[in-house]
Amino acid sequence: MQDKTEYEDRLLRLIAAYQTQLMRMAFYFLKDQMLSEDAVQETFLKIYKNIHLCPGPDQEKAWVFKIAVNTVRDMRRRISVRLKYLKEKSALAVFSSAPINPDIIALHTEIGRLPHKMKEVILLYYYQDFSVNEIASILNLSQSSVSGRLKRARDTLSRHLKGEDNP
Amino acid sequence: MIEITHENVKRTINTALSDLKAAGSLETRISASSAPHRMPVRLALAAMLAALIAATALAFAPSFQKVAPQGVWKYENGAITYQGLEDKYPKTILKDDAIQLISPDTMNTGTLYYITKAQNGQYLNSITFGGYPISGPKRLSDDYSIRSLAADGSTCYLIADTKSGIGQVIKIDAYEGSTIQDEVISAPGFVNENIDCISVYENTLLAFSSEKSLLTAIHLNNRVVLSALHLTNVQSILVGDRFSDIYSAFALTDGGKTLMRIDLITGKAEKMDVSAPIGARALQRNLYSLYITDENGAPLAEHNIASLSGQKISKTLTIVNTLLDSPSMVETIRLFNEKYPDIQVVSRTIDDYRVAATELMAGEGGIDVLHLTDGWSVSPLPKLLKNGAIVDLTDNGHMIKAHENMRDIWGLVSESGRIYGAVSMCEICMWEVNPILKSKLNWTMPEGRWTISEFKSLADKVIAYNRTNDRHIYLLADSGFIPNFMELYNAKYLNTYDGTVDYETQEFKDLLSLWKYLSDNRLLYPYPKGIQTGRIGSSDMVSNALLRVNYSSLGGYGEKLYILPPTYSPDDPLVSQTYALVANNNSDMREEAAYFVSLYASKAVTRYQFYLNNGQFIDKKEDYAFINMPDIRKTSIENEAKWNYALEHAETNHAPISLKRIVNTELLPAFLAGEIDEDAFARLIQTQAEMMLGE
Repeated sequence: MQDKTEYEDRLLRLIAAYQTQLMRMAFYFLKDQMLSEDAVQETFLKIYKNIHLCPGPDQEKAWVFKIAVNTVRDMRRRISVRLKYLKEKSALAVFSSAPINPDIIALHTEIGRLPHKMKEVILLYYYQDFSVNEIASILNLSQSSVSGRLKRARDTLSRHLKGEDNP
Repeated sequence: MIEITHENVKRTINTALSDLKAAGSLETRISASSAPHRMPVRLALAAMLAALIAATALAFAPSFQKVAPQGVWKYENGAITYQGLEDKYPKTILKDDAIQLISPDTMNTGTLYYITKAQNGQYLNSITFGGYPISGPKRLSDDYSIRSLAADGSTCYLIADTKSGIGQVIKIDAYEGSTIQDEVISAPGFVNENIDCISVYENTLLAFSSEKSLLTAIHLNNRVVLSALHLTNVQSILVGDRFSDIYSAFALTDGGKTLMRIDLITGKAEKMDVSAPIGARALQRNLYSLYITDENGAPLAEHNIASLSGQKISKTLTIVNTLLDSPSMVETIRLFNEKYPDIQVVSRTIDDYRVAATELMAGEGGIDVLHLTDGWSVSPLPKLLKNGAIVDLTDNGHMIKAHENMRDIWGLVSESGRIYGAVSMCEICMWEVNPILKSKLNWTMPEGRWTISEFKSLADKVIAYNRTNDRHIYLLADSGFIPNFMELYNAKYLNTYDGTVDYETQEFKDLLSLWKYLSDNRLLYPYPKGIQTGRIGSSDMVSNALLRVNYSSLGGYGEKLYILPPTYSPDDPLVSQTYALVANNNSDMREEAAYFVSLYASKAVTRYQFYLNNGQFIDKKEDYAFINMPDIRKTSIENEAKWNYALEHAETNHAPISLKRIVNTELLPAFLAGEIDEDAFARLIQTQAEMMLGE
């Protein structure tokens, strides 16, 4: 049986490995730095409570992101009114002290504008390098649903980047 | 156009959000935070992790727990905790490293018996779940090497090795002044030695000897052996239920894999069709359930003990969203079954009020009695009353009697003069005063009611004080971030029956302006995020806040200094949180359900409602506070009068909980940060309220 020190060490390792990625992903859904921090915090608390269930290194990342995706979804539900009135229509902020290429700003903005279901698959696939199979497991979907969603998300992004369908 | 590739997406996110790093932002969060209640994530995370780690550390320490009739007792890390079945959190009852054994009283008295070992001997003690010692310490004989303890009423039974024998069952009166001598249990046909485990319940003693593979059941009143049978590989035994033709016991055998029922009348044992969970090592019970537990007493499975015992049930009365093991509910069910012996009372949980409300109105029979609490997202009461889905109990004979005796309490479950339910919980709101700051400010506290304008003057006094003093003082600690002003406003203007409220009034906007004024002048105590009202105990009055909103059930704190919440007018209502049991008007068992609810409100049961009153029924309103807070009269007659006054002048708060949540988490932070003004706040909350109340 593992003792609590091993669990704590494992948690600290997970925090070091994933906190920044989780923070950035959460930001695309919550559009608010503090809410994103809250989401990351809540994710790690859930992880800690269930750390004894954490799978081995090969499946650990998918497990972490599954918890994160659900946490962000829950948080969006909880803060729906505030988001609706204060954040939903706001542009996605940029957090960079360095000058940024306009193409990057455009892609950043358009990812932020995607419907949440599409955003999930784009971020998990392109940003986190999960396979379609892994994403299906994280989102509790079939592989064909993930593939379909990924294709639609890619098409939507492309159209928006070309200036089509833009408001 | 940029191509959508792995590399480009990664570069985009990592570049656009290069400064958005959890660690970095954690560092800067203090300065970045504008909302007063927010806590830096790192601090919050550290604090929460510390709490979690501490909790985990406890979980690794040796511990054991016991199921009592109303809740669970636990001994771990040198402390005894108790969590009632309606409590959100366990509370620490006693800290004592020397505790060796614990046993809750099976007789529904809420008492725990425990044995401590000191250098000069071993002692038997008892304490209630309210933290009151009942008896002891009673010095036990040094001859006893105690292995096990069981309590039944004020009598305890030990298994101990003594000079006269190994593994003997000994009966002990728990009271230290008792002249009753300890007694080694004897009965014709019972060999009291080498006993490994015992179970006692309602005058029946079960004793098992693994050496002899013999289970013996003894009636303790007349010392007759009811039954003796051979069983092997027994892990635990338990006295079951007794009905007219049924007398049962249970045994966990075969390494915890098999549950046996023993008929104590015929002496036959049969294997139950119940699968014992992995790790099953012991049996425990309360009045309604049999628990299969692990070796530390943690429940792994729960079964209805009456049906396991063999009771024949023809119908069920379903109660939704309550627990059947609270003292008042236990007594209600007992009295109910006297009239309806063939109806089994069962509980069911429905998380979504809409499901319950729909079922209630459709009369589908799934709900007979409903427990209305604020745990639901929206209070369904207006709709239920309007649609006649709730039985009008005004003319019910039992309710009339209860109402005569406790008109102030039952007034909290009346609408337009009609009684619709029985109170199951009532908390009133008072504000606690910091006496040190009161003196520093030289504030003359109003004796009785006071007004919002007087409160505003007090705020200005604190602002003036802060200008000339180094140590900042906060005016008000409203720990749940629900402005108590809003609850007072709801008590006055939210119409429960019609489900209407008007927040777009000047009065409400003035309250918001006042709240902003307090916030802008840093008069609201900035609680760390995550701290909830219910987690703050009486001793947590913050040292640098003058006032604190304090909800308390009728068990309160006599030694504190309290003031009534201020209102616009001295005639305005105060506020209470009241839960109620109501009966389904469309149920097939409408009469039975109404009878059940009225029983719950009856004199016979209400005495269990207020468990600190030693069974004394409260029939004088001036005794409410005294009986529930026995120390209050000694410590503060003024507080006693204030509690009674607040109760008498309280309205039940029926504001939907989801409305509070929106105010707390969304509108109030936005308002205090200057993102929305009073008009927008009022408009938004009005829209939300109409939507929720109209659902």
